[in-house]
Parts: sequence; C-alpha cells; structure tokens
Amino acid sequence: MRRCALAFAAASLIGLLAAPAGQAAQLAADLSRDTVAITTGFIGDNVIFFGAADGPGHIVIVVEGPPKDTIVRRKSRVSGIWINRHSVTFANAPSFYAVAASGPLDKIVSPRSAQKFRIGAENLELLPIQPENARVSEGEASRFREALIRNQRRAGLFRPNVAKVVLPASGVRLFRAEIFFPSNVPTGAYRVRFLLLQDGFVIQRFERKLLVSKAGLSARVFRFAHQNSIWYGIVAIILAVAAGWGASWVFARK
Amino acid sequence: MQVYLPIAEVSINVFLLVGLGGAIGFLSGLFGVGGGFLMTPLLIFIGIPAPVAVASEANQIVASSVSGVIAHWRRGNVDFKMGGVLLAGGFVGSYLGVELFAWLRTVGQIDLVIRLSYVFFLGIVGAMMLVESSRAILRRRSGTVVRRKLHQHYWVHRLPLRMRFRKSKLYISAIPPFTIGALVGVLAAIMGVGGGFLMVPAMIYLLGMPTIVVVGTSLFQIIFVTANVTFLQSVTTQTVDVVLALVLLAGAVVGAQFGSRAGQYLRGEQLRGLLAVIVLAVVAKLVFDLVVTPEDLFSLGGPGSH
Repeated sequence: MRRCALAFAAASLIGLLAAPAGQAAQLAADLSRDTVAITTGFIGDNVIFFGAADGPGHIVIVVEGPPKDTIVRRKSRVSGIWINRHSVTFANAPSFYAVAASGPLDKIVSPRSAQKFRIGAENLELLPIQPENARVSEGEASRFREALIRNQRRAGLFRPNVAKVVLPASGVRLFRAEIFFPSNVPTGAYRVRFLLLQDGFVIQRFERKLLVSKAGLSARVFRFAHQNSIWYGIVAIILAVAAGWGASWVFARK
Repeated sequence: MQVYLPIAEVSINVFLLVGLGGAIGFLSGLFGVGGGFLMTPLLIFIGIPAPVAVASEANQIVASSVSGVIAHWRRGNVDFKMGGVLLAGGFVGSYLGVELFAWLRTVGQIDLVIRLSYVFFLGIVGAMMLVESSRAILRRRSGTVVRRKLHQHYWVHRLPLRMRFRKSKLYISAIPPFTIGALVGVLAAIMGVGGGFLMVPAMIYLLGMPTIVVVGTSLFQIIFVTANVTFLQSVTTQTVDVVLALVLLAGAVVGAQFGSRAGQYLRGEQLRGLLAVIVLAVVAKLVFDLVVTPEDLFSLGGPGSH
C-alpha cells in the first residue's frame, strides 16, 4: 500500500520534472509524511524521503532539528572528586541532525560544499557564545564542539551513520532514503534539505519542512502540565492518594 | 511494551518501570521510608532526565505512603499527634529548603551539593544504624538480657512546651520533633526525597520513639511533605510526569503492601540492620561515581540548569 503510494508520488514528481525542459538538472522531492506524531506508544519512527532528479549526480539529504542554545560542560577533578567546572554554550546548535547520501560523503562532496551546506556533523557551524569576562579560545571551542557532537551521537539525536540514498532506476533517476527518528527526538519544526551534487558541488537544492509533535494522550498531558500547572499538581496528588487508598482497600479485603 | 512519557520525553519499557516500582515499594512498606533515595538515582540511571525523576518520584511517594500508612494505621501504629508536630516542622523546613535550592542554583553546583548531601547523610545514618543494630543482634544471640530503660532522656526533652504523645509513650517538649521535621524538610527539598531514611533513625535515637510506631508515623508525615513538593514542582518547573508516576505506583502500591506484611515477621533490629546495609550500598555507589574518572568528561546540560 505504502509502496504504491510512493510509486504514485514518484510518478507525479517525474511529470513535474518533465515540464520545464531545457534546464540543466532538476530536483523534486517529498517525504512519506509531513508530521512525526509522538503518541503514548511512540518508540521512534522511520520517515521515508524520496524524489527524482532528471540529471546525473549524487543526492544528499540533510535533516536538522529545531536549533537550541546548548550547554556543554566539562568535569575536572577537585580534591579527588569529579565536578563540572567549565562550560561552553553553543548558539543555535541543531537539536537533531541526520544525513543520507548516495555515496561516501568524502567522495561525493567537496570540502567547501560540505562546509557551506553543513553536510556531516563535523561541518556544522557551531559557534560558542562568548562570555563577557573571558573569551573561549579556538582550541577550547573545538574540544567542546567535538564533545557536543559525541554526546548527541551517543544520545542518538545526531544519527551516528550516514543513511543510504538508494538510486534504483537509471534514466530519470528516482531516489529514496529512510531516516530513523528515535523516541527521545525533540519536538518542533525540522528543516529537510535535498541536494543534488555534481563533481562535488551542489547544483540544485530543494527544501521541505517536517513537523515533530506530540499527539493524543501525551500531547494532552503535556499541554495540561504547562497551561494549567496548578490544577495539574492538584490532579497529580489526587491520583496518587486515590491509587494508594485503592490498593490498600483491595488488599485489606483479601 | 514501551510507553512514551510525555514530560520526560523518552519511551521506556512498562514492565521495567512497574518492576522498579514494586521492588522499591516493597522496601518502602518494610522500612517506612519513601524509597526515593533509591528510586531517584535508578530512574536517572535508566534515562529519565534528573529534574523529572526527582519531581515524579515525589508524586509516586505520595501514593506508596498513603497505602503504607493505611496498613500501619489499621494496626494502630501511627502516632498522629507526633506526626502533626513533625509535619508542622516539615512545612516550614521544605519552604526554607526550596529557597535554599533556588539560591544554590544561582551560585551553581546544585548537582554537587545534592550528591554530597546524599553521601554525608546517608553515610552517617547507615553507619549508625549498622553499628546499633548489629550490637542489638549480638546481644540477643549471646542471651544476656540487659534491661534497658524505655528510652533515654536528654536535656532537649526537658525543653518547654511539653506534650504527651500517648502512642509513643513519651512526655517530651514539642521543640525537638518540630526541629527534626524542619531539618528533614530542608533536606527533602534539596535532595528530592521524602526524607524517611533520616526521620526514622532520628525518631528512634533522638526522640526515643518505639520502632513499631516510627514507621507509620514517618509515612504519615511523608505523605504531606511529598504532596507539597509535587505541587511546588508542578507549578514552578512543570517536571512532574503523571504517566511515569502512575506506572511506577502501580508497582509500588502492591509492593508496599507485601513489604509492610513482611515487616511483621522481622524484628526491629533486623529491619534496621537490613536498611543500614542498603543505605551504605547506595553511599558506596555515589562515592564511586564521584571519585572514578568518568568515561566522558564532557556532558550536555539542559538550558538554565547550572
């Protein structure tokens, strides 16, 4: 069923491509869905990214989560105990980052394009917020930057591997890639960039938005907690008292 | 089977949570402690963000304490008058504790203060209980019956405002229990626990209350202190995860029932010795984490949590 829908969508994309003739290379793309809905049973989800390019070249897909100021802390040993001493805050670091590519990144993307289009976590432009009293040196900043990427990879939010872009057909070239969104994925508007590269340079780009949001019961609980926090607290206490009471009542009857 | 926790924003296996709740609930019913000092570190360990773990745990302790109190109350083992005095102190103390918590956050290092106070208080309490209970067990083994006084009288018991606590068989000043309640309230707010592990020994060794009433009375006081913490956290930080608390307490209320039953088959000094061993194990783990070189010196901090 889903495959059918995808094939249909791809076919219409090809139609789209065929129209403006005479141009160098065209790129059109879409996602299998606009929204990743986080429900109570959410255990992470795959989103399929697909499209078509009518010229030769490689395809790279970059997904970035909503930017956030992110604090990285470093522990040092003070009289035998490890405590957080230094911290660097990076402005607008993406809260999620994933790349899919039709070949190995170092072969298909030139270093300049990689940097310009932020392809690969190492090429993210992570700038420290400079505190007023002390500047963060470049050496320091790069150690903290590496730590940010390492920690986000460990948390699964910077996807550890480059996902594969599959190019099944020749001629009018269809492509397809699957990216996994783990259960701890941050909510918000995600930016999805589809890039068509030739000889390492980006010749076409196409952008889409992907929304990650809570849905159903989990969305309702979250809204209640934030919009009506006094009542939320009271309800939480009542539920707890009722549960404790109920349990001892059940047990006393046995 | 996984469940997505809407406030913690992670999904965790339901059976793991129910099992954890049941195990800690059992201990809570057995010893009359809320179990927060065990549960909160465990929740953080399985991937719940620390502020959510602390706040939701307070909510869950409300339930297991209610269930525990009812069981003890049926057997007539709750001294409500003493509980009321402790509670009055507890409210004052937890208010001061929240203020202190806010101040420590602005200075930085709240994490370190939490860990060090865990090590310090749990260490002292655990060691004291271990020594005392093993002495009592040895005395019983050797068969020498030392006729002890009902309890010892210190100068603090002779302070003004004397009250008669019939259930505890005490006629002492209300100032020491009020102070104990307040101190425990301060620590409860800073450490994010009910404070039973401090209050139980304080009631036994400082106030001279009989062990049998101590458990129920401490649970009674914990209900209100943790309810207060749940409310304050809901309003100020929105970190109480009701789904997490409900899943945990599904296990905990059942565990607490079995725990308080099992407690009847153990003697007081055996109970205290067992609790001491568990407390010292937690201390050893905390010290280990503070001293051993971490795998990654760097970590990501949430916004604003200094």
